[in-house]
Amino acid sequence: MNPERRQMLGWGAAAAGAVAAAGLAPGLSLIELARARSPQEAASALQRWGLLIDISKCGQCNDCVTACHEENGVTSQGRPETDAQWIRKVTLRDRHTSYAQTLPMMCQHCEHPPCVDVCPTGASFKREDGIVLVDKHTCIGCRYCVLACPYGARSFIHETVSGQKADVPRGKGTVESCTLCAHRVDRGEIPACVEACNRDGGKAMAFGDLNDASSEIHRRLRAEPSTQVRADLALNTGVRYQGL
Amino acid sequence: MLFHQRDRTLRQGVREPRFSLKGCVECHAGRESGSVLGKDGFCSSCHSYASVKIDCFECHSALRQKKLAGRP
Repeated sequence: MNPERRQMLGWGAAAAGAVAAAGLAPGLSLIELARARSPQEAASALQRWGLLIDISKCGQCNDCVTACHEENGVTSQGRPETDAQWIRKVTLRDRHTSYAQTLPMMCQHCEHPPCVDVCPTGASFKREDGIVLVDKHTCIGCRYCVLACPYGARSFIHETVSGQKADVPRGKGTVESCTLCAHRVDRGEIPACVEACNRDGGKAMAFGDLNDASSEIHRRLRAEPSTQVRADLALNTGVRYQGL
Repeated sequence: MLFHQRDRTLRQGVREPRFSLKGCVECHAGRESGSVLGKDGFCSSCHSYASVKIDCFECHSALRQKKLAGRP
Protein backbone atom coordinates (compact mmCIF):
# COMPACT_ATOMS: atom_id res chain seq x y z
CA MET A 1 0.00 0.00 0.00
CA ASN A 2 1.52 3.36 -0.98
CA PRO A 3 1.74 6.20 1.55
CA GLU A 4 -0.95 8.35 -0.14
CA ARG A 5 -3.45 5.55 -0.03
CA ARG A 6 -2.69 4.88 3.63
CA GLN A 7 -3.18 8.58 4.36
CA MET A 8 -6.55 8.54 2.61
CA LEU A 9 -7.75 5.60 4.71
CA GLY A 10 -6.66 7.44 7.84
CA TRP A 11 -8.69 10.49 6.85
CA GLY A 12 -11.67 8.24 6.11
CA ALA A 13 -11.50 6.69 9.59
CA ALA A 14 -11.26 10.16 11.17
CA ALA A 15 -14.31 11.34 9.21
CA ALA A 16 -16.34 8.27 10.27
CA GLY A 17 -15.41 8.97 13.91
CA ALA A 18 -16.52 12.59 13.55
CA VAL A 19 -19.90 11.50 12.14
CA ALA A 20 -20.42 9.09 15.06
CA ALA A 21 -19.57 11.86 17.54
CA ALA A 22 -21.98 14.24 15.79
CA GLY A 23 -24.73 11.74 16.60
CA LEU A 24 -24.51 12.88 20.19
CA ALA A 25 -24.81 16.57 19.35
CA PRO A 26 -27.84 18.49 20.62
CA GLY A 27 -31.04 17.58 18.81
CA LEU A 28 -29.66 14.22 17.71
CA SER A 29 -29.72 11.02 19.68
CA LEU A 30 -28.56 7.49 19.07
CA ILE A 31 -31.83 5.94 20.18
CA GLU A 32 -35.07 7.64 19.27
CA LEU A 33 -37.70 7.35 21.97
CA ALA A 34 -41.20 6.14 21.20
CA ARG A 35 -43.83 8.84 21.63
CA ALA A 36 -47.38 9.63 20.56
CA ARG A 37 -47.43 10.77 16.95
CA SER A 38 -49.41 13.48 15.25
CA PRO A 39 -51.91 12.67 12.46
CA GLN A 40 -49.42 14.00 9.89
CA GLU A 41 -46.76 11.53 10.95
CA ALA A 42 -46.42 8.04 9.51
CA ALA A 43 -46.65 4.98 11.75
CA SER A 44 -43.17 4.13 12.90
CA ALA A 45 -41.32 0.90 13.50
CA LEU A 46 -40.26 2.29 16.88
CA GLN A 47 -43.64 1.15 18.12
CA ARG A 48 -45.19 -2.27 18.04
CA TRP A 49 -48.78 -2.39 19.16
CA GLY A 50 -49.94 -5.49 20.95
CA LEU A 51 -52.40 -7.00 23.37
CA LEU A 52 -51.99 -9.01 26.53
CA ILE A 53 -55.02 -11.09 27.47
CA ASP A 54 -55.27 -12.67 30.91
CA ILE A 55 -57.53 -15.68 30.42
CA SER A 56 -58.02 -16.25 34.14
CA LYS A 57 -60.00 -12.99 34.19
CA CYS A 58 -61.91 -13.71 30.97
CA GLY A 59 -65.41 -14.75 31.92
CA GLN A 60 -68.48 -15.82 30.01
CA CYS A 61 -69.40 -12.39 28.66
CA ASN A 62 -69.25 -11.41 25.02
CA ASP A 63 -68.56 -7.71 25.53
CA CYS A 64 -65.35 -7.58 23.45
CA VAL A 65 -67.08 -9.16 20.46
CA THR A 66 -70.13 -6.88 20.72
CA ALA A 67 -67.98 -3.76 21.13
CA CYS A 68 -65.75 -4.70 18.17
CA HIS A 69 -68.61 -5.33 15.82
CA GLU A 70 -70.38 -2.18 16.97
CA GLU A 71 -67.25 -0.02 16.50
CA ASN A 72 -66.44 -1.43 13.08
CA GLY A 73 -69.99 -1.73 11.79
CA VAL A 74 -69.74 -5.49 11.36
CA THR A 75 -73.33 -6.65 11.14
CA SER A 76 -74.81 -10.09 10.75
CA GLN A 77 -76.68 -11.02 7.58
CA GLY A 78 -78.47 -13.72 9.55
CA ARG A 79 -76.26 -16.43 8.05
CA PRO A 80 -73.67 -17.35 10.67
CA GLU A 81 -71.66 -19.56 8.25
CA THR A 82 -70.76 -16.60 6.05
CA ASP A 83 -71.02 -13.65 8.45
CA ALA A 84 -67.85 -11.64 8.98
CA GLN A 85 -66.13 -12.31 12.27
CA TRP A 86 -63.39 -9.99 13.44
CA ILE A 87 -63.14 -11.41 16.95
CA ARG A 88 -64.73 -14.49 18.50
CA LYS A 89 -64.88 -16.22 21.84
CA VAL A 90 -63.25 -19.66 21.88
CA THR A 91 -63.86 -22.24 24.59
CA LEU A 92 -61.07 -24.70 25.38
CA ARG A 93 -62.01 -27.83 27.28
CA ASP A 94 -59.56 -30.30 28.77
CA ARG A 95 -60.62 -33.69 27.43
CA HIS A 96 -59.69 -35.51 30.64
CA THR A 97 -60.73 -33.13 33.38
CA SER A 98 -63.45 -31.16 31.52
CA TYR A 99 -61.85 -27.94 32.78
CA ALA A 100 -63.07 -25.20 30.43
CA GLN A 101 -61.45 -21.86 29.62
CA THR A 102 -62.74 -19.15 27.33
CA LEU A 103 -60.69 -16.61 25.44
CA PRO A 104 -61.11 -14.00 22.71
CA MET A 105 -59.41 -14.92 19.43
CA MET A 106 -58.71 -12.45 16.65
CA CYS A 107 -55.92 -11.44 14.27
CA GLN A 108 -52.70 -11.95 16.25
CA HIS A 109 -50.82 -9.21 14.35
CA CYS A 110 -47.79 -11.41 13.72
CA GLU A 111 -44.33 -10.03 13.09
CA HIS A 112 -44.01 -12.54 10.24
CA PRO A 113 -47.60 -12.83 9.02
CA PRO A 114 -48.37 -15.80 6.73
CA CYS A 115 -51.29 -13.85 5.23
CA VAL A 116 -48.81 -11.26 3.89
CA ASP A 117 -46.53 -13.98 2.49
CA VAL A 118 -49.26 -15.60 0.43
CA CYS A 119 -51.07 -12.49 -0.84
CA PRO A 120 -50.63 -12.36 -4.64
CA THR A 121 -51.41 -8.63 -4.96
CA GLY A 122 -49.71 -7.19 -1.90
CA ALA A 123 -53.08 -6.21 -0.44
CA SER A 124 -52.37 -7.97 2.84
CA PHE A 125 -49.64 -5.99 4.55
CA LYS A 126 -48.08 -5.15 7.88
CA ARG A 127 -47.90 -1.53 8.92
CA GLU A 128 -44.61 -0.23 10.34
CA ASP A 129 -46.07 -0.29 13.85
CA GLY A 130 -46.94 -4.00 13.59
CA ILE A 131 -50.65 -3.78 12.72
CA VAL A 132 -51.58 -6.28 10.00
CA LEU A 133 -54.21 -4.91 7.59
CA VAL A 134 -55.86 -5.59 4.24
CA ASP A 135 -55.70 -2.91 1.54
CA LYS A 136 -59.16 -3.48 0.12
CA HIS A 137 -58.33 -1.28 -2.88
CA THR A 138 -55.98 -4.01 -4.12
CA CYS A 139 -57.61 -7.09 -2.58
CA ILE A 140 -59.03 -9.33 -5.31
CA GLY A 141 -60.82 -11.65 -2.91
CA CYS A 142 -58.77 -14.75 -3.68
CA ARG A 143 -58.91 -15.84 -0.01
CA TYR A 144 -55.39 -17.29 0.08
CA CYS A 145 -54.87 -15.37 3.33
CA VAL A 146 -58.00 -16.90 4.85
CA LEU A 147 -56.44 -20.32 4.32
CA ALA A 148 -52.93 -19.27 5.36
CA CYS A 149 -53.90 -17.71 8.69
CA PRO A 150 -53.37 -20.32 11.44
CA TYR A 151 -55.77 -18.43 13.71
CA GLY A 152 -58.78 -18.37 11.36
CA ALA A 153 -58.86 -14.63 11.83
CA ARG A 154 -59.87 -13.54 8.36
CA SER A 155 -63.36 -13.32 6.87
CA PHE A 156 -64.46 -12.94 3.27
CA ILE A 157 -67.34 -10.58 2.59
CA HIS A 158 -69.86 -12.44 0.48
CA GLU A 159 -72.63 -9.90 0.32
CA THR A 160 -73.12 -6.23 -0.40
CA VAL A 161 -72.52 -4.21 2.73
CA SER A 162 -74.47 -1.12 3.68
CA GLY A 163 -74.37 1.25 6.60
CA GLN A 164 -70.58 1.24 6.98
CA LYS A 165 -68.95 3.34 9.66
CA ALA A 166 -67.12 6.40 8.35
CA ASP A 167 -63.80 5.18 9.77
CA VAL A 168 -64.18 1.58 8.66
CA PRO A 169 -64.87 1.08 4.95
CA ARG A 170 -66.09 -2.42 4.15
CA GLY A 171 -67.23 -3.97 0.89
CA LYS A 172 -68.23 -7.10 -0.93
CA GLY A 173 -65.57 -9.28 -2.52
CA THR A 174 -62.74 -8.42 -0.15
CA VAL A 175 -61.20 -10.08 2.89
CA GLU A 176 -61.09 -8.37 6.25
CA SER A 177 -60.06 -8.98 9.83
CA CYS A 178 -59.29 -7.23 13.09
CA THR A 179 -57.46 -3.95 12.42
CA LEU A 180 -56.50 -3.52 16.08
CA CYS A 181 -58.82 -0.51 15.67
CA ALA A 182 -56.08 1.27 13.68
CA HIS A 183 -58.35 4.31 13.26
CA ARG A 184 -58.65 4.62 17.04
CA VAL A 185 -54.99 3.85 17.70
CA ASP A 186 -54.01 6.62 15.25
CA ARG A 187 -56.13 9.02 17.33
CA GLY A 188 -54.33 7.88 20.49
CA GLU A 189 -57.20 5.74 21.77
CA ILE A 190 -57.28 2.06 22.68
CA PRO A 191 -59.10 -0.64 20.67
CA ALA A 192 -62.85 -1.01 21.27
CA CYS A 193 -62.56 -4.58 22.63
CA VAL A 194 -60.04 -3.53 25.29
CA GLU A 195 -62.14 -0.54 26.27
CA ALA A 196 -65.27 -2.70 26.62
CA CYS A 197 -63.44 -5.42 28.56
CA ASN A 198 -62.05 -2.90 31.02
CA ARG A 199 -65.41 -1.14 31.39
CA ASP A 200 -67.95 -3.98 31.47
CA GLY A 201 -66.00 -7.23 31.35
CA GLY A 202 -63.39 -8.92 33.49
CA LYS A 203 -60.56 -6.43 32.82
CA ALA A 204 -58.71 -9.24 31.07
CA MET A 205 -57.31 -7.26 28.13
CA ALA A 206 -54.46 -4.78 28.06
CA PHE A 207 -53.29 -2.79 25.03
CA GLY A 208 -49.94 -1.10 24.59
CA ASP A 209 -46.64 -0.65 22.85
CA LEU A 210 -44.54 -3.80 23.18
CA ASN A 211 -41.38 -1.79 22.42
CA ASP A 212 -41.93 0.92 25.02
CA ALA A 213 -40.05 -0.13 28.15
CA SER A 214 -42.16 2.19 30.31
CA SER A 215 -45.52 0.76 29.18
CA GLU A 216 -47.65 -1.44 31.41
CA ILE A 217 -47.83 -4.22 28.81
CA HIS A 218 -44.02 -4.27 28.39
CA ARG A 219 -43.53 -4.43 32.16
CA ARG A 220 -46.02 -7.28 32.57
CA LEU A 221 -44.61 -9.29 29.67
CA ARG A 222 -41.15 -8.95 31.18
CA ALA A 223 -42.21 -9.90 34.70
CA GLU A 224 -44.97 -12.47 34.19
CA PRO A 225 -45.27 -15.64 32.11
CA SER A 226 -47.21 -15.36 28.86
CA THR A 227 -47.74 -17.50 25.79
CA GLN A 228 -48.29 -17.08 22.08
CA VAL A 229 -50.91 -19.27 20.45
CA ARG A 230 -49.10 -21.63 18.06
CA ALA A 231 -45.71 -20.42 19.23
CA ASP A 232 -44.24 -23.35 17.27
CA LEU A 233 -44.84 -21.40 14.05
CA ALA A 234 -42.42 -18.67 15.25
CA LEU A 235 -44.64 -15.87 13.95
CA ASN A 236 -43.93 -13.65 16.97
CA THR A 237 -47.50 -12.59 17.54
CA GLY A 238 -48.44 -9.17 18.86
CA VAL A 239 -51.29 -10.68 20.89
CA ARG A 240 -50.12 -12.63 23.92
CA TYR A 241 -52.10 -14.71 26.38
CA GLN A 242 -51.68 -15.42 30.08
CA GLY A 243 -53.07 -18.44 31.91
CA LEU A 244 -53.43 -20.54 28.78
CA MET B 1 -53.64 12.68 -5.89
CA LEU B 2 -56.41 11.01 -3.92
CA PHE B 3 -54.96 7.64 -4.90
CA HIS B 4 -51.54 8.55 -3.60
CA GLN B 5 -52.89 9.95 -0.35
CA ARG B 6 -55.17 6.98 0.15
CA ASP B 7 -52.18 4.64 0.13
CA ARG B 8 -50.30 6.88 2.55
CA THR B 9 -53.27 6.86 4.91
CA LEU B 10 -53.89 3.15 4.76
CA ARG B 11 -50.35 1.84 4.58
CA GLN B 12 -48.47 4.41 6.64
CA GLY B 13 -51.23 5.60 8.95
CA VAL B 14 -50.89 9.27 7.89
CA ARG B 15 -54.28 10.78 8.63
CA GLU B 16 -54.04 14.36 7.46
CA PRO B 17 -57.36 16.21 7.62
CA ARG B 18 -56.52 17.83 4.24
CA PHE B 19 -56.67 14.50 2.42
CA SER B 20 -59.41 12.84 4.41
CA LEU B 21 -62.24 11.34 2.38
CA LYS B 22 -64.37 11.74 5.48
CA GLY B 23 -63.48 15.43 5.34
CA CYS B 24 -64.60 15.68 1.67
CA VAL B 25 -67.95 14.16 2.55
CA GLU B 26 -68.43 16.44 5.58
CA CYS B 27 -68.60 19.53 3.34
CA HIS B 28 -69.84 18.16 0.04
CA ALA B 29 -72.72 16.03 1.27
CA GLY B 30 -76.11 17.36 0.22
CA ARG B 31 -77.95 19.61 2.62
CA GLU B 32 -81.14 17.56 2.46
CA SER B 33 -79.83 14.04 1.92
CA GLY B 34 -76.63 14.35 4.00
CA SER B 35 -74.97 12.24 1.33
CA VAL B 36 -72.65 12.72 -1.66
CA LEU B 37 -74.69 10.16 -3.59
CA GLY B 38 -78.16 10.43 -5.12
CA LYS B 39 -79.39 12.36 -8.15
CA ASP B 40 -77.86 15.70 -7.16
CA GLY B 41 -75.14 14.22 -5.00
CA PHE B 42 -71.77 15.98 -5.30
CA CYS B 43 -69.92 12.85 -6.43
CA SER B 44 -72.55 10.78 -8.13
CA SER B 45 -74.04 13.52 -10.31
CA CYS B 46 -70.75 13.93 -12.24
CA HIS B 47 -69.78 10.27 -12.09
CA SER B 48 -73.04 9.13 -13.63
CA TYR B 49 -72.95 11.92 -16.26
CA ALA B 50 -69.42 10.97 -17.30
CA SER B 51 -70.11 7.27 -16.81
CA VAL B 52 -67.17 6.94 -14.44
CA LYS B 53 -66.99 3.50 -12.98
CA ILE B 54 -64.95 4.12 -9.86
CA ASP B 55 -67.15 4.17 -6.82
CA CYS B 56 -65.59 4.99 -3.47
CA PHE B 57 -68.91 4.68 -1.73
CA GLU B 58 -69.58 1.01 -2.27
CA CYS B 59 -67.28 0.60 0.72
CA HIS B 60 -66.80 4.06 2.23
CA SER B 61 -69.61 5.80 4.02
CA ALA B 62 -71.23 8.49 1.85
CA LEU B 63 -72.96 10.18 4.77
CA ARG B 64 -72.03 13.29 6.67
CA GLN B 65 -71.15 12.41 10.25
CA LYS B 66 -71.70 15.74 11.98
CA LYS B 67 -75.09 17.37 12.29
CA LEU B 68 -75.55 20.58 10.30
CA ALA B 69 -75.88 23.68 12.45
CA GLY B 70 -79.49 24.61 13.10
CA ARG B 71 -80.79 21.15 12.24
CA PRO B 72 -82.06 18.47 14.57
